[in-house]
Amino acid sequence: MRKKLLRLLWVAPVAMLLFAGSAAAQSTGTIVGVVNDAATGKPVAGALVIATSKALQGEQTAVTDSRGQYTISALPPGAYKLSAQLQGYKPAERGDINLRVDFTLRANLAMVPESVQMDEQVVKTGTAPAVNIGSAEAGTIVSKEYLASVPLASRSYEQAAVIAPTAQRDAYGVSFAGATSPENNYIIDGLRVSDPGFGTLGTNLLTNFVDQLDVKVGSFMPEYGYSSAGIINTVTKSGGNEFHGSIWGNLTPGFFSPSTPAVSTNGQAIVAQSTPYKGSYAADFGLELGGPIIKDKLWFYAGFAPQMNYNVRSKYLQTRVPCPAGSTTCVDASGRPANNPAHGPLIWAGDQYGQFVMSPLGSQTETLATGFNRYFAIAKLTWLINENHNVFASFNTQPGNTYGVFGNNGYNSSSAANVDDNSTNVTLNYTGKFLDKHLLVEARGGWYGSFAKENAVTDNGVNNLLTPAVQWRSTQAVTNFIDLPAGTTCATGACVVSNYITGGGGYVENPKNNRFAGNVSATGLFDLAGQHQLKAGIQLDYSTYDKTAYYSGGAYTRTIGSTTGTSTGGTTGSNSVQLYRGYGVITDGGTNWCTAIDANGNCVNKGYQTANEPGQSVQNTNTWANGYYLQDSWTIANVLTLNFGVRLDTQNVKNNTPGNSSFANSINLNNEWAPRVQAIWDFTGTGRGKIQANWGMYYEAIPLDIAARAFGFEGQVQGYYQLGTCVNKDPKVNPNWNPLTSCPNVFGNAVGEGPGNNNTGNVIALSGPGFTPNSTGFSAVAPDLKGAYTQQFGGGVQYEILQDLTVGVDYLGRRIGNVIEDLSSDDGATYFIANPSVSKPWTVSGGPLDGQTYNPQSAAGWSLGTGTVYTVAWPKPERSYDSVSFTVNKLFSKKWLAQGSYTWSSLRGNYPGLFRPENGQLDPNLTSEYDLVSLLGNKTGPLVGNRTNQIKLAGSYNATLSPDVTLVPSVNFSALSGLPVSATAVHPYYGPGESYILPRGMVGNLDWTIQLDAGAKVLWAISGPYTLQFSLDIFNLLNMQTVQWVDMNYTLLDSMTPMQNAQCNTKTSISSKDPLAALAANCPDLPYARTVDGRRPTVNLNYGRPAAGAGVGAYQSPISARFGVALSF
Amino acid sequence: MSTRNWNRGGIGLAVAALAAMSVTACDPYLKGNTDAPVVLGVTMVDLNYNTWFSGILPPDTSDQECTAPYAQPDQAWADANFPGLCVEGGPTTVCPVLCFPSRTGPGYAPFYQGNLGGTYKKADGLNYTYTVLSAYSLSDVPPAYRDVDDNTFWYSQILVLFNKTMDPATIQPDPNVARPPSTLTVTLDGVDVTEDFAFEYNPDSDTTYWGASMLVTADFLFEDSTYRIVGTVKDQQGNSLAIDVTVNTGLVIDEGPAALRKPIALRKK
Repeated sequence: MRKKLLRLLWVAPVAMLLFAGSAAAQSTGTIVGVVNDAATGKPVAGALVIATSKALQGEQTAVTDSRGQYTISALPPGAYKLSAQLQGYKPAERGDINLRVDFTLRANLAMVPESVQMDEQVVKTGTAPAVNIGSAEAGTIVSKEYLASVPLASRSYEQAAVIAPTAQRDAYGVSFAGATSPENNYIIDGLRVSDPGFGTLGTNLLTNFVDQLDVKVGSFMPEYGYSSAGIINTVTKSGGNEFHGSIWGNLTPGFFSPSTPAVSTNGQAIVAQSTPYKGSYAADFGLELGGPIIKDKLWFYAGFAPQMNYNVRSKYLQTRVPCPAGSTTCVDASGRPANNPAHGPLIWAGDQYGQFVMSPLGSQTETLATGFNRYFAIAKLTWLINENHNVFASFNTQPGNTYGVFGNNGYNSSSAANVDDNSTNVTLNYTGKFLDKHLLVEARGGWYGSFAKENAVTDNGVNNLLTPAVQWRSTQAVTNFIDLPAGTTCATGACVVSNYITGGGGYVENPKNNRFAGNVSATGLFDLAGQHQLKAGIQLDYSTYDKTAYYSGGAYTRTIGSTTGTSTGGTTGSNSVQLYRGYGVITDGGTNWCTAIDANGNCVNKGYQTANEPGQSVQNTNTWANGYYLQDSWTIANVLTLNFGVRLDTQNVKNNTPGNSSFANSINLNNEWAPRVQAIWDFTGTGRGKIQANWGMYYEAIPLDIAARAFGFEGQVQGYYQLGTCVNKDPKVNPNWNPLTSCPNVFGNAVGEGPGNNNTGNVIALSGPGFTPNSTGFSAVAPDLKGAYTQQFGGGVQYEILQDLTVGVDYLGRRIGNVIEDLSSDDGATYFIANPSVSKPWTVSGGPLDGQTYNPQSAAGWSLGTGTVYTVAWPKPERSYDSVSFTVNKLFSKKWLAQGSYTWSSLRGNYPGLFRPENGQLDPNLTSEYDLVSLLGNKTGPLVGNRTNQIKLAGSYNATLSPDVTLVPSVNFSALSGLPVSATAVHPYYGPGESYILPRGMVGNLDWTIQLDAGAKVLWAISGPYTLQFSLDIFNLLNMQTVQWVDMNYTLLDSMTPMQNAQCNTKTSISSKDPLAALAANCPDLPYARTVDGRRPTVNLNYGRPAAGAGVGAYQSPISARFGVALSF
Repeated sequence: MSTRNWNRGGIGLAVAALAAMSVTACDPYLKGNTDAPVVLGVTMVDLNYNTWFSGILPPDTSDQECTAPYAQPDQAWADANFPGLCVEGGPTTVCPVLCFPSRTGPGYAPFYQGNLGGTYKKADGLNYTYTVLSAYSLSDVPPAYRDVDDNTFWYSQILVLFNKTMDPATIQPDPNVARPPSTLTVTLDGVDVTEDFAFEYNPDSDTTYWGASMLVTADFLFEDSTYRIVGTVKDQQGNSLAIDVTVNTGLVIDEGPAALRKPIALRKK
């Protein structure tokens, strides 16, 4: 029976896709109300209620029922006027109803009988309330007035969403209520524009093109899906019955911005510093035009805007300067104490300097730049077929190019990039009203497409795509790579670099994404013990993510040796050049091609790649993610609204790479049932206040990265060369040195033989020694895998204390439920996909993994120190978020607007979400968070997004200076408490930053980040409809340059096991000038901590010092100014 | 400035201080571990043991059974509870049952005594529960073991495992000097040989129910001898804990290849 039902659910939407084609999203709002007799107070039945607006083509009408109730739905957001007419009554009217997207406003009307004598012929009832009495969802609306007046540092629309309570920026976007931003659903004009591969924002748009953002922090109803976090539902601008347009230009010159503090690694020679005054700029200019093609019938809107961004930074050298013996006052330029050997062994064994500080060496060595150019184009057509049927079509595209040198610790060729990318959205929307407007049908279809393609850059004779990257891991003199500035010298060992990279750019990935989406919904309006809006809908979403990945020159190589090394030893130590990663094509010694082998040395992926696809990983993936929902909004006695419903999501995630299908695994989830309930009590009875409570389940839409990485063979090959016998390895002479063609294999293979070597066809015979396949992918999936979800619950009260001014207090809780992750229950020997601690153990039957047994319940770790086995159960994933927000919202009216909030929150757990904030690993459902039990020690604590306090306030005021001149001062202020800081070490398998030696967050919190942006605009009505605007926005007016991220690696060199029972006396160590010393004093166990092989760790003397994090700079951006000019009509 | 304002300020400060204290008291990370300190167990560790690079693993033969106090686990139970992990001949480090044939060998289960937490099912169908003792005694510890590949393991490090982190000053006052305070001693057949042993405090703890450990290390142990560690240590809350650990050594085990076999003599002179 259930199968039949599911089949039915499949057949129906497929048929509908023939004419529809998108993610459902409300891009309209609803006005409800009651028309009463002003004399008797009794409801007036049969009155004609008419809604008109500049945002509306024609007018929309409704007739009041026997209780005097009316509902007008599917109204585009805008300022509305309502009027009511009925024979025997004077006309009634109320205006300035600011309807926002997905809002339900109550606008009651009172009609005066004709028999009553009045001076006025039309009864005006005042403005309408501003409280959304139709929903209990958490969030806010960012209006076009807000976007136009409040200073926003980013020109991209989604950053404006941070004004919402609980919102904050993370490495990949804006996160809400403790979740990670890739869990969001991004919607533009009804089309889901989340990146299919990773779930991140897939489309940028300049704020100029946006009408409003509906920022849903959480607790939304079943018609919204594809999100276990928040939703940014964006409505672009539309045309109107009058022609309006503008032409504008904005420029943020770097000239007015000071340089940021230098960011360096303590003890290392290379320093980089943002120096915007040397030529940085950000600029955009464009034009937009909207108006009627046929009045009240067909409107258009179009815009075009190039955007350019150019950032300059400078590189310097620094040297270590020894402190006088016994000195206790030796401090560096920032006042930090000298590096004290008492912290532990110095970062380099045998360091001759003892205590030292860093000092600049000579003058600047190099000026580097990065930038991008982007061209936005947008168009929209809105067609009213008749009062009951309308259609709009929307299109936008933004081709761009990102370029520059992004790294500091290497040759420019190793971090140079030139990437073309674009995303394009097309959507078609239909809304129809049937059955005397008691049935509303909406259908949407759309296509999202995006790509990125890396182009070759040649620097100093090195082609960044054709040359292997060489990572020189060991510490060696910087002069092995570059010459010192003229007139400067370095003492032996005083100017050193580690992990310096020469050659090409390393990993290259060119993705292509597509999404075809459609939805159909039907809403019935009827009375049954109250008013009902019963809505049912189907959403279809077919997405693809295809990527081609390779390593520049065919391989990523690294060596512990020196550029002057002469040893010819084995596979480890300073003698070797390790071919660390390369996509190779392997033969089994015969004619069979494969990218992986089984335990018996046989190809397990025959036919996947061919000799014509050397050294690449090609992955084609796709997913059907469909949603089916049924919900009702039941309003009782015009004061109590109960929203309840359920959503069923189905997801089928698979890898369909040619030749891979017979082996490929997939995720099939067909029972993601998500009930959601809300109760809203309009305690004013007039739409001016509400008390609400809500609860719901929200399933994650799985990005396709997991299909590319876990369900397809990423055939990689590893091997070693002998550094001492390599030729031409002096990078200063041969910056394009290629170990693959310059070194004999360590096992005696001929020069030039190796994986990914484009010169020799990338062929490795399995029978040949020297290289070992290191295949990843093709992970088994738990047969009882369940969807990943969060539970959200909350409640609160809002009240409109003044006209259009609403205050509120809300609680929002969010708990993560099941998560989907890759696990290894045998400490890295095998991996599988499951729900940690939930999925049951199973044995694979058939296929290459036949007979393999996996256990998502129990796992064996083993003591890194003693070798003893421990732990028998996976810890349950935990991410608990609780917040209380006090909010104030003032719609734009009476010349001013404001939005503000204070949020207290707590975010704790052991699982951050779809990416790992500590290092930026964006592998949704495949992060290292849950790979091994040995990675989970000490991970329960305040997660990176834990900002206990958030204060936000933004607003503007239109001051009339003269009949023709208006001054608009504005402000955007935020004060956010600092992020938690941890202490990490190297995990033996996973590398630096993965092993928490102290409980998460134990080191304390960074300082508050305070940002004050101020703006002023002068609007000058120069002639007729034309207005000239001059604007000045100053960002970070206080020029605070607070530390945003610090180096959290207690050691970068040594593997350490978590000290799971470590105790500290206080959590303030990071606030000390010398965090290492403070940590040792506050945490008695730390000075005794050991490496896994029993030594004292080699402490990272840069610990606790400012460092760039994933998607976050070391320091707050300095003060900057944007100048703008616009002519509008 | 009026007294009244001072009073107000004082009240404000007091409220702020109380708030800060209450927040601090509620912070689970700053809340001290008030559990009474206990010794969870004692084991011998091979001096040459190198987790990541040695590649040397203890013998993996089917005829090696658990030795007292541990009972042989039930294979069917292990298969059901740890599928794929407790496989004869499988990886030697992944079976969570402490005493499982694939993991028995010098330096491992036979010489571990104490509480690993939990229970496992024995071959006779009954449960075996790890226990905490007030005094630990390891028997028949081979001071050295040479395997068939001529790899030699030296069992001269005694690991005493606690349930929580301890006051380092009561075990190893100086992190850079591996010497104990006077409150800890080692005897060899009743004679104080503390000077021959290094004492190290190791706060690393792999699990939440294991704590820090104390490592007592000599270059080698003599055969057929009795070593005893006694004394008192404290946790970071000041609670005292008596230490009483006895290690009775047996004979060196030499299974090296006959052609390579050479005597390992660790007899007392």
